[in-house]
Amino acid sequence: MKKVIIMFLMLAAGLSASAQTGLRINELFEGRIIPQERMIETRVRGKTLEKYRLTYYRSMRFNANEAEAQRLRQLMDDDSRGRFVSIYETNHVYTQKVQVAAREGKNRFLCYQEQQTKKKDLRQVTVIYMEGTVADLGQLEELLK
Amino acid sequence: MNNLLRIRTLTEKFFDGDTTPKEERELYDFYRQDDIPKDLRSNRELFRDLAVLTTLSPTASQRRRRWWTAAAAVAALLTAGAATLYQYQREDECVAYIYGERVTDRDVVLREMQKTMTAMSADGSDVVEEQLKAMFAN
Repeated sequence: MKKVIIMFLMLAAGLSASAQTGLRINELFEGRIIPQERMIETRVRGKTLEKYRLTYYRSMRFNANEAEAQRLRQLMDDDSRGRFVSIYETNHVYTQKVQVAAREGKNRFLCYQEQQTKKKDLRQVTVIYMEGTVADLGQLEELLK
Repeated sequence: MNNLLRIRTLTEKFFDGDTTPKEERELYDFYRQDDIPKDLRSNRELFRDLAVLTTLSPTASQRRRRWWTAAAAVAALLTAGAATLYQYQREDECVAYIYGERVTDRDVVLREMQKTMTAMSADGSDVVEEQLKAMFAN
């Protein structure tokens, strides 16, 4: 019976594991920072993404206050530590892209963008998680264009 | 003697259907012997047969264990089925949640994805161009 229970637990664990496992930004994807009612979330998986050489795409777009944006930047920085990061910054836009550790043979990327809105204390934030066979950030930039 | 008296009492109790499992085991042990008083000898075969049957039929704890095993197996099968279905559905997932509202219209989802990807692809050139235009417009 023990074997059956262990199998059951393993299956349950497998079901609950998300693609962003092991990343600090997972907090956002789990809805622990911004509730789903405040954002536009997109999840795409499968054939549609083949042309982008991706297997999974998940994005979140929302308005965040200074504290929330700061928390997100911190999580992005944590996930970027020791990784090759591409950062672009102007007065109005901050973009950070990073290739995080591969998982199950798939390369994984995180993109973060913060844009100033008309309201001084609000920023429009976009976070994208992608995984697939795209080799590196350079290739990813090309695909995103 | 005391023991025989107890056996006789238990035997009567058994036929009245009032014995506990422990008392029944005591009777089976007693009737397993060859040296049994004459008045009880007629019961010997019955109790010996019952003793054999008791060892063959599962005890309550065995029955409980079997039930749990079966229940766990069914639960595992259901979970495996659900996992397969979940995986199958996720293989071609295309969904958006627009301010909490689930949208499965493929065109809407892909448009949203495209929009977000394009916004992210701005490598600075567009922004710089925009800023230069704004600067020289003054």
